Amino acid sequence: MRETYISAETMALIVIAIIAGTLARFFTLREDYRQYPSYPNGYLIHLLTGFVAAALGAVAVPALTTKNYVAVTFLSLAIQQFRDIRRIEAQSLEALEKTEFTKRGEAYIDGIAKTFEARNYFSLTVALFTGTGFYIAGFWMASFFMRGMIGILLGGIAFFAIKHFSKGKNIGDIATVEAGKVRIENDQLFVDDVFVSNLVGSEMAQNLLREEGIAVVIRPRSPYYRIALDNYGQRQAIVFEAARALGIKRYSFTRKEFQEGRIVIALVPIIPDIQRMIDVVKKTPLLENVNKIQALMKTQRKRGSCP
Amino acid sequence: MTQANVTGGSREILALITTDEKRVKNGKATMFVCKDEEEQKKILQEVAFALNADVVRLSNGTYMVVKA
Repeated sequence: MRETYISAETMALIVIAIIAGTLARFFTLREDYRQYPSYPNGYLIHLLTGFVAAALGAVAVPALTTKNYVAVTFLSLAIQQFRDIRRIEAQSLEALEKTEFTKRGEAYIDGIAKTFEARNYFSLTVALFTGTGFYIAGFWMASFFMRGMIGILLGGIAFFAIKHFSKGKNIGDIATVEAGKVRIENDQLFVDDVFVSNLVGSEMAQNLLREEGIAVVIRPRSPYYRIALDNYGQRQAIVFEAARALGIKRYSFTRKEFQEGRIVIALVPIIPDIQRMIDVVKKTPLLENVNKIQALMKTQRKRGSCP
Repeated sequence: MTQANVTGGSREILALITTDEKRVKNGKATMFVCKDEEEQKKILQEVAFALNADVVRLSNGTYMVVKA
């Protein structure tokens, strides 16, 4: 075989690793439908950046094995590219804030953008592991098929390991969510016994809220979790998810109650489905930047509670 | 109109709508003096719509229109 051509072995390694890495991005892309990537074009963009990430991871292995150590520096280029993806995601979501009735809030946007960056490292790492598996298996066996299998196995292990590590919790894990009763008293809005707002002075607003308003009460399971729930960004994220699921006809309110740390969210939805609102609030991700509290990190996730 | 204001930033008074002429004092907000409560409610709704603002009813019967 001439030196200028890439060997069949290297070619097989790169192709298998790229496919494995891109698949890793594809599987993670299907899961975050609730968060953001918009369907046709958003998906395409992220699949392609996942492909590029996988390609970088795949090429790193043959580069190392041919003693081309300097080539590994392009991994730093990859990191740069992924940070750009995070920045661009954040920028585009921030630009959209003005067009939405309810804002995502900066904390939520930061969390989403961070997730997108992390998902690209999925691709890179899986491709890297698959390639390494393929290469190492070559010491014992000759069949490309068997070597590919071992590579994919190793890549799969890496995939599930990172996935497990990067998995977040959600509101349902740390708090109970129940329907609350909306009522107007002395021109003020109450949910159950919690004062929510007095910005409902006009009769129109009062009638609308009385007839169509729905509310949920979020009650933390332990005082530790109050710290997370009190976070402005976290509450904004909850309101946003509820508003997006139900649509907002007019008003949305949130209020923190100090005695027990309950959080109240009240709104006038387009689709008056309280069960759906409770589900959505429970599934709202717990933001990473409020997640640092030790007690939270040790919390067990409930099985199957979040995608 | 009203959006969840989680950060708790303060608001601004845009207008006050009252039935009592004696309550009119100088200030930044525009005062509307109405002859009775019925007119007051009507004016209030119109002003609130025009300014795209929220309404608070004070305990003395005066309405306050605040920035959303």
